[in-house]
Amino acid sequence: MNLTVRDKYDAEPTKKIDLGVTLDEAVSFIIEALEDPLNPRWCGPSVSACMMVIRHHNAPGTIINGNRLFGSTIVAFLTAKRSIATIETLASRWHNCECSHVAINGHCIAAAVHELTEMAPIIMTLSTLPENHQCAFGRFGDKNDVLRAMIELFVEYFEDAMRNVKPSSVANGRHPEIWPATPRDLIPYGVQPQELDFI
Amino acid sequence: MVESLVTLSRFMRSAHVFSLVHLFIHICGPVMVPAIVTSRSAPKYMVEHGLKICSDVSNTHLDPNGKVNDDTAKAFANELGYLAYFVNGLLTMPPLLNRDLHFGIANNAFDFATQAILTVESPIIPQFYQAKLKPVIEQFSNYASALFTTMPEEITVPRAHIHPAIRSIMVRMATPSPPAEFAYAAMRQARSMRFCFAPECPEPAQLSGRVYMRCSGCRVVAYCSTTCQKRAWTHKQLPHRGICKKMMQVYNIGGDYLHQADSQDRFVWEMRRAKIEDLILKEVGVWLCVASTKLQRTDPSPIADARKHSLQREG
Repeated sequence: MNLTVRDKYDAEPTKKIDLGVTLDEAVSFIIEALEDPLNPRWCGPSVSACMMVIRHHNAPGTIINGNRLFGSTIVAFLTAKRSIATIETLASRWHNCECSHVAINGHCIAAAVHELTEMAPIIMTLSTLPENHQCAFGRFGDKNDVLRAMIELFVEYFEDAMRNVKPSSVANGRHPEIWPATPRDLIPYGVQPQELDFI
Repeated sequence: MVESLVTLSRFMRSAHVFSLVHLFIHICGPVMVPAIVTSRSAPKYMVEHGLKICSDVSNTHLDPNGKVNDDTAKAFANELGYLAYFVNGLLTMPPLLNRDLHFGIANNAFDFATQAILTVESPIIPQFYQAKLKPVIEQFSNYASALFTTMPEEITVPRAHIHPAIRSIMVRMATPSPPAEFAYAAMRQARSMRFCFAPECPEPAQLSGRVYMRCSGCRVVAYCSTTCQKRAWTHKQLPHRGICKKMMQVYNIGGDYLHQADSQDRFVWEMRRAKIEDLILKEVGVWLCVASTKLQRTDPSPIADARKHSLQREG
């Protein structure tokens, strides 16, 4: 009889942990939270908790194609016009949960998600593993930088969704079921060329 | 939107977000490229960040073997890789747009490319990462040699002091390649450019974002509209009518190999097998090169205004 010694913390690779929030709930919560990319509705830890749920299901392409609004929300968040000061403000605001109890209790998904916000630092630790060391130095020293980790995750998701996209298919709108279906999906605010700074 | 990605990258102190620009160029080329050319923040960021990561890795603490530690080397390789994505996007742009894009910063960009190559080749980088970064060096060498050949008036580095890797690419570019290889490179480049090939395309900077259709004869050049195609067919200086059939002949035989970067030998072999004359291959290559160098913005370019302003200021 063969015995395999396993680390007691090493979960079964196929076993899915029940986080109390379903994938659809997590996706719709992020879409709702980032509806206004410049002024997110929910706190950073809750968004990161949802990303933790989404990451748990290893199929970024399927998730983005399953809910096209998710891809558009990510792009809108990444490409929204911000200054460094605005980003710093968002980073400090997102560091802790500042959501009101009334708002949380009146929203069934938010209540479940906020149960997970204690676990959000785990994501931060994961995203600052040696393989991500190029940007592992949080802007708040030893604190976890929620915004930075979120941006990293969003960029990874975006790249995964883009990996198999063919430019001609997007230009022709040949596959409306796949995100992005048209160039407009990728450029929600338009290209907005700005004035040359050396004139 | 280019500015947004650049600002976010500055905040992150990493070019990971910036590397998305390459994806935008790849998927929405005709819409994105003029915006990148006009905004200019993207190449400026690339140069600034590139020089910074090179200087950071050179000034970092070394281990007893005289190498940087694994984490630093890995971070450097990743960051350089992100910038190489963008450089790759620039190499697929028409030469005249590249000239506009690099106006005023060509010399800095050339310095950055040289510095990146020197840093990768320096003994402080572990061999594993040096090997991993070989394709990146190749890309930066191509980029620097393209800068030197398209904007020689802006590069202040004397030819003798140019890095050997860049110089070898320049020599390779100046040496006439065999006709089949030449046609392969020109056709591949033409198919990667998603710009209207009609001379004097009236569409301002190809900004429409419309579907670009390839010529159904040759299946190599693309046009933004049937009007452009008709005009290009009988254009006085560069009529497509004279070359379409020849290009079709070449494409029908070797078109399948244009999609893969490493299929040049197969393409050449197929041309030999089908006994395609060298003259035809050369004609196709030359026609495509001339056509692609004419691709440019046709609206009053803000870069042209800037150039005039800069010249006036210099007296």
